[in-house]
Amino acid sequence: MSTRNQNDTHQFGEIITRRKFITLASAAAAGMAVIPLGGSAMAAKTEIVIGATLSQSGRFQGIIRPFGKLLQVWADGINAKGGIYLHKINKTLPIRLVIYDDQSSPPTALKFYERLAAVDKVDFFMGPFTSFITNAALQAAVKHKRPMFMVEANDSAMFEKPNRWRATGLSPAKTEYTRVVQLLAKKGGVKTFALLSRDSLHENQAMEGFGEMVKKAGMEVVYQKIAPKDTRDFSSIILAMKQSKPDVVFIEWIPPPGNIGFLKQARGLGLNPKDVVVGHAPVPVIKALGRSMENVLSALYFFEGDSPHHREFFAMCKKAGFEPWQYSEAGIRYVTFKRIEEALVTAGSLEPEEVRRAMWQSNFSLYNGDIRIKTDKKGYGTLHPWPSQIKNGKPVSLWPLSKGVEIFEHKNGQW
Amino acid sequence: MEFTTLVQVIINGVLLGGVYALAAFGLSLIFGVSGVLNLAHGEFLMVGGMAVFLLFDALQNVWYVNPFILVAVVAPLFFLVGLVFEKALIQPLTQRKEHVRLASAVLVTLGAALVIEDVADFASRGSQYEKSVDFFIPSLVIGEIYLETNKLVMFGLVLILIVALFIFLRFTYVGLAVQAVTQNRRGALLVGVNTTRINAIAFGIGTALAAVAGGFEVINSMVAPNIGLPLTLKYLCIVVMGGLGSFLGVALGGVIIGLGESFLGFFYPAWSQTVAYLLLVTVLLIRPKGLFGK
Repeated sequence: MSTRNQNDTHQFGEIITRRKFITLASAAAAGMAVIPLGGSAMAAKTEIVIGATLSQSGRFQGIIRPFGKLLQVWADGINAKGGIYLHKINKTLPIRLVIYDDQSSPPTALKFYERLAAVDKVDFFMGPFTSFITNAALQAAVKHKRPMFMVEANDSAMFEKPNRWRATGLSPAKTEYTRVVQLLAKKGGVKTFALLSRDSLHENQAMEGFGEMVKKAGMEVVYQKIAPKDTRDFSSIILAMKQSKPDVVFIEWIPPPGNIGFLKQARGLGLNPKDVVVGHAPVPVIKALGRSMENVLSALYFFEGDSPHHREFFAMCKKAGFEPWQYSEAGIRYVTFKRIEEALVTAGSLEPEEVRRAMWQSNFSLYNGDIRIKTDKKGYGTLHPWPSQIKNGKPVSLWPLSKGVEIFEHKNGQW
Repeated sequence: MEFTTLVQVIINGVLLGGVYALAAFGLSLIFGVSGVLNLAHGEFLMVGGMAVFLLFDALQNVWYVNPFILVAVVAPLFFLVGLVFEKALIQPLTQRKEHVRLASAVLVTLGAALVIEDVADFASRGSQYEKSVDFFIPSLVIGEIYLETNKLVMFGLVLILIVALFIFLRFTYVGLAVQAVTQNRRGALLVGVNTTRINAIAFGIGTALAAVAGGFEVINSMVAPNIGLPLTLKYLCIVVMGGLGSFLGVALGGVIIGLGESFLGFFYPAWSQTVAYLLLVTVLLIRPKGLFGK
């Protein structure tokens, strides 16, 4: 038997004695037991790999087109300083971004987040644009146990069930227009509101929240409806709004150019409220309406200021080739960059669990302390936009509130 | 609902229906003549709108051109586009058996629709995705009723085009040939009508009408690469509801759906985009061949 064993073993190479075989087998078994526990930690990390998708085509591309460049500007800035120091592995590592075009489609985004985890082996995810797409992409975060720093996503659909692999910098969608309502309430002169949103995640809740805050501030909602996403003719909605005689008309529509039809037709049908609030008013909307956009109230994810953070943010946008107001959601990206930097410094390593825990501990101030970014128990953050008003074809920041109230002018039905 | 609002809702419904009917005419004409269900019709509308926008955008720094004039410039170009499209993709299918031709044409035009959408999407990179022109003529105000002048002009142009189409079909040799092919292709062939040429002409006219409707969309609202297929489905509802091949049916179908959307949009906007399908099912249950189908 011994001879046969020796012969069998011989077929695979050198002759191995029983003692040698037992020793080698034990060592191999011990090694295999150790690798799954400490493999990733033991592997020498040379870079921080962040995976994300961006809508570089499809219906959202017009709102976030230059964000690929913005992300690269951020990464280049970090890398120019040598990278981010991770104290637990005592190394300063540069950032490498892996970005795919999700074509503004949730299934495509999910496919790419799967790839980012399985093929590109990213350390963690930066979320895609909109709640609508993030809701799908989150599945990959849970499945592959990779933290996702959600970006432009705050609909409650993603926060109803606990999920420790995601957290956002934004406050809940319902609180999105807190500062806009504050401004209108403080300025005074308006009492009744007509509200409309596109039927989608985020928009409905942003409108609902707007209505709730209006009522809390002692004002009245006289019209509140949801319109299907493919609506192109708003005439009947406008007539119904007109009949309810609102002082303020509010529309929440993403992608924002959906506002164009509404605003053009409102102008034509003589809907002349004291104020018009357009949740998102990027360049295509302003361009399509021209002078009629004058004094339309809107919101930006930043405000004018001269703090070091302001200067850094404005410089990053400039390097990426745009002015911040042209792509206001860049303000959310900026906060996400800061969340990631803070989380990595806190985690001190790239272990998903450590990064995840640090992501949930976000707590820092921005813009000279004007805003504190903090993650709550559900994974929401604290960022929500600041009011702005279109003046001479571009938005003017209406913050701080006292200054905003002074600058703000009612539209008074002047299209 | 106040009386003046009711009047305004009706007026808006009719104006909206008129523009729907214009694009649906093109679809109906193509189907009637060549038996092809052109699922790329909405895409031609979208591209037509984009062409108007691009011309408007390019010219506005040189001199201000009324976008309605640009619509008139774009329409003949799209007649040619339709001819080329038919020649390249549809004509090769005409020798096949009817059921094979129908299925093949659906697949070919659907494929073309997807390709056109993707190309338009790709071409939009680096510029804005949604296209709209800043053009506004102050509304006509009669008492408390506001009549959007832009829409009135569009409706007037739709009427002119319908009358022109009627005259063309009734009093010209090619128009009569189009009708002959619609009624009996084999019979038309036997009396010497060049059906291949007529197919191409019908496709060209249909495509030009879609482009005109696209021009109206870019003035009234906006166009984007992804608007084509949902619009094609709506126009299909109008064509089927009116009765396949019936121009009067298409006109009436367009107005019915326009009015339906207008009324439902007033009370329950969330349902306004479903009304076309609900009305289609209702009409087909009562008249399976559509309002004017034979």
